[in-house]
Amino acid sequence: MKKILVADDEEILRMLIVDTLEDSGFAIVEAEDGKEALRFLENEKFDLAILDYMMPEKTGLEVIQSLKAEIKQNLQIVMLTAKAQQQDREAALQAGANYFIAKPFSPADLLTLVEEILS
Amino acid sequence: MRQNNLWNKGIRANFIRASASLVIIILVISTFYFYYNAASQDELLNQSEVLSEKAEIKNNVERSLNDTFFRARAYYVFQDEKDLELLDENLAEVKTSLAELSTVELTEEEARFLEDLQSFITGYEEEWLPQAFEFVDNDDYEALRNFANSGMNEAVNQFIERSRDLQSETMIEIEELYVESIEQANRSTLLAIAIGGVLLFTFMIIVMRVLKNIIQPIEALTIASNDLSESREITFQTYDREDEIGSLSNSFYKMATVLQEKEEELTAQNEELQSQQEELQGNQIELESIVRRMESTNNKLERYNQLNHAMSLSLSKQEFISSIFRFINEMYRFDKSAMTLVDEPVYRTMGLTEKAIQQFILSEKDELIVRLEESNHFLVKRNSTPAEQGIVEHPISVYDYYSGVLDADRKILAIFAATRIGEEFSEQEMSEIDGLMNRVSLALERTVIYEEMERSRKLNQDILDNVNEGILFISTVGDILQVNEAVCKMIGHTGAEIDHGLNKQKWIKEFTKYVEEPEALQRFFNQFTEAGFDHNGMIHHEYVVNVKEERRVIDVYGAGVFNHQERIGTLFVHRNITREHELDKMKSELVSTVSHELRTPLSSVLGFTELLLKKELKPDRQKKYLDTIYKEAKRLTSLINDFLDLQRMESGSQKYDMSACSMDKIMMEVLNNFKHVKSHRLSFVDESFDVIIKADQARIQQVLTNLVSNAIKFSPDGGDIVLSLKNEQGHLVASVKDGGLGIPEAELEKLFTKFQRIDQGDRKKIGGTGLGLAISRGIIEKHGGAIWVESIEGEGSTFYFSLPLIADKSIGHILRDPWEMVEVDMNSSTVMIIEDDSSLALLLSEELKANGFRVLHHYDPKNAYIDILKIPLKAIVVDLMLGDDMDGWELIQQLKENEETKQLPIIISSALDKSIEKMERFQVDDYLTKPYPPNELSKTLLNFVQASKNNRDGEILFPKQT
Repeated sequence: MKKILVADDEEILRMLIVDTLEDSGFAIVEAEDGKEALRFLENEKFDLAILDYMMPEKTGLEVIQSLKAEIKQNLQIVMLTAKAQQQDREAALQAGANYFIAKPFSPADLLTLVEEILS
Repeated sequence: MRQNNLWNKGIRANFIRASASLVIIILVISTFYFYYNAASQDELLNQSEVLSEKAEIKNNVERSLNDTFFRARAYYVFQDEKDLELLDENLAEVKTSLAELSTVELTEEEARFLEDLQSFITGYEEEWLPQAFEFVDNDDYEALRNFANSGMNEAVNQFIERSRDLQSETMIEIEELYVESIEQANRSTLLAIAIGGVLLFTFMIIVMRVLKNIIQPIEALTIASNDLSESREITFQTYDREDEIGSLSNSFYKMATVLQEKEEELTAQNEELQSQQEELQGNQIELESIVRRMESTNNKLERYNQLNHAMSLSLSKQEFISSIFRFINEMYRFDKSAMTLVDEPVYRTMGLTEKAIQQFILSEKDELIVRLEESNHFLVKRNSTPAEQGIVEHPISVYDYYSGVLDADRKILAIFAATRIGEEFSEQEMSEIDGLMNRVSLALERTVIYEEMERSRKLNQDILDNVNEGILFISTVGDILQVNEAVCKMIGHTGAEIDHGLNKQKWIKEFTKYVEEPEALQRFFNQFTEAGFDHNGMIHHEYVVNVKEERRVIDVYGAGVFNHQERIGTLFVHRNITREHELDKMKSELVSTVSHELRTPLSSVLGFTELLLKKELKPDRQKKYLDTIYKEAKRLTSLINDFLDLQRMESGSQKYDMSACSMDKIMMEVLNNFKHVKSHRLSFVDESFDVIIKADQARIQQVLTNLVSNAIKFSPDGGDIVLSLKNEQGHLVASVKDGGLGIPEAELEKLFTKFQRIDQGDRKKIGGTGLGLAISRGIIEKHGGAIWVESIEGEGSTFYFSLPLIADKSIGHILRDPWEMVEVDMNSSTVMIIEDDSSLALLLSEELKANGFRVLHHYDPKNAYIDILKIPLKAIVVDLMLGDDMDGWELIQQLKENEETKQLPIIISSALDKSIEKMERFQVDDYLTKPYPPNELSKTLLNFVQASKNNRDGEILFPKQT
């Protein structure tokens, strides 16, 4: 079973993502800030991390930047961003993010993307 | 021969001759005189002898005659023969005497007398005597007497008389002769004197002649020789004489002639020499005068030069006036002088007191100026003042000379005034001074122009130095032409390191000293001086410089500077854009925040809607989603509203609907709006008595709501949130106090600035736009109030804002006179109102406050109970119908069960009917039934308070049934 980390400081959004993905048979772990997300990623093996860009403690970008290369190797990263953060997106891409999803997003699109990545 | 000649004709010979002649003359005259004198003396002697002889003879005649007659008469008488004999003798004597007499020279009278006497004697002897003898012999005396009387006697007497006369005559003659001899002696004396005088005269003549002959020529010679020695013209005649004088004069003349000739020759030579010398002297004098003239000209020139130098160098007016003034005072002598500019208080003076100067400077000079404009200069003659007069007794004339410095438009720029006591100004001086003033005018105008230039240059430099932009102007080869302070400060230099004149390598090295990535900046600078650089627009570059741990972001653009289409250099304008950068960053952060904040609820709304639409969901899920969608949509709305508010506030387009309103009412309403909050215990302490403000009620509510929301948001662990309101001088101060996270001290300052969020620690979890406080501040300031915060990190914060009370008291009302407060102890006079109907609570509150009570509002009996335990209260007013969890009766029950609160008086305010059973059970003292007039409550309360002394604690009051 593919394991997914969902990191977002907004509980509601986490709920939305979890509810979107729950029926497709993924194991989902939630983190409410960057620090927690990093801790999870470092300690457990995930196939996919869905990281919100704007998070307290550590931003999504900082989380990626803090990750060791070997962890990043086997990890697909989807970042949730606002469109305004074009520059940050490039930085995130450089740091190792694989996909971007702009808020507000369609849950269906997210599901499609996740399924595609993990298939 | 010559000797001989001299001997014959010399002065000595002459002198001897003259002396000899003189001696001879003296001898002759003396001899002559002697003989003459002797002769006359002899003659006199003879005459004297003759006369003496004659006198003796006459004497003899007379005596013998007398004797004769006497003898005759004696004979007559006595007839003595002796007598007769004697008579004969006497007669003989007479005859002898007569004979003697006849031998001497006789005068006619004497001769006649002699003749008469001789004839008488002859008669007498021959006739008279013989007759008389006859008578005598006859003794005829009678006849004798007759005879005698007949004439004899008379004749005899006559003869005696005559001889006596003759004798006396002779005596007279002798005397005369004696006189004559004296006269003779006198005459001879006179003669001697005369002779002496003649001799003296002769001598003098001789001497004179000698003098004339000798002294005169000598004198002439002397004069001539003096003349000769003194080289005067000699008026000398030679003497045609053969003596020494002659030869002397001749030889002198010859010598003089020779000398004169020689002298003439010499004189001629001398004259020639003299004329040469004169010429030389003339030349020398001329040379000297030329030298002197040159010297004075030189001197003058030097001074002029100095002046020129000073004039050309001194560009400040003060300095300029000083040098002119010094110069003019060195050139001319004045007793007093002053020079002043007309338009500026720039002046120099000499010999004047400060007072006099000030007087002159400040005096109305219009008349003087007009006069000088007309005539350039003028001279005033006046009497001296006592001070000028000094020790002089009478007033003296004093000359005041005024000269103006005129510009090209004949406008007076400066005035020169000089005073001379007792001495005039010469025309030359005045014209020289005037000339000087003309030069001063030119130089002064130059100074004015220079000052103008300097001013504009300084202005330029000031502008350059005061613009925030750093200006750096370099030549085409890269040397610095101009640099301002701003650029130096901007890049962390104090100024000296980068200055004009530095070459490219040097200043670029200095410039990039503290710059991050200096190479990029160096490349940027260098491109402008590269050969073939022909970019005409601006080229921007951004660099970061670290100055004393301050990170500055600086934007620089370089642009070519052209003069007549020729590139003369490059202008670099540096702008410290750190703030913009920060603002930009903040803005972009805000945008991303806003974006994030907007997108998050949007994501929720859209996401859950999509889920609702596309997924088969259980009804509870559906409801949950719908709830979420609703909440998130509301959140979205408030976010958008906040954002719009701020935009409106920034643009100034926010409209305020100002009206008089009660602040306590606003507070109550806000409190009421938060009634649903269960996580925190909200209460409101109202100590105000004057509550009318002019405000936009909705906006003030917004502020309060924001503060309360923040208080709730930032005290995530719950706790008390206390709103309070109290009066301060002219203001109302409202506050919201929480016991939450608090704010770090460093952040306090920028808390109210927009775009500011304190993203730290726990706060990061707390959402928000960071706009609320900025909006609040905008609103409060618009109302003429202030907003501030007191906070201790970890202990909580209290936000305050003050609003001015309405000045016009007729609009609102004051609940009570503030001075009455003194009588009421606020702490022990607190009444708690537990009422969920805010309007009723407000009504009660105002009534209580008007009577000096402090009111503590609660709407939740549970929360109220906690406060009741903590705060000493006078009484509790409680509504029976309260929230879901607990109603009034439950609270009353709780209070009555607690020993501590058992005694607390309770007043029930309820719309519910009286429950007799409960009232009895809880011993409710009084009971108010809604609606009741508010004063009823206060009356009840006041009675109650009054009565509290009478041990009525723990009573519960009913409202009286109306």
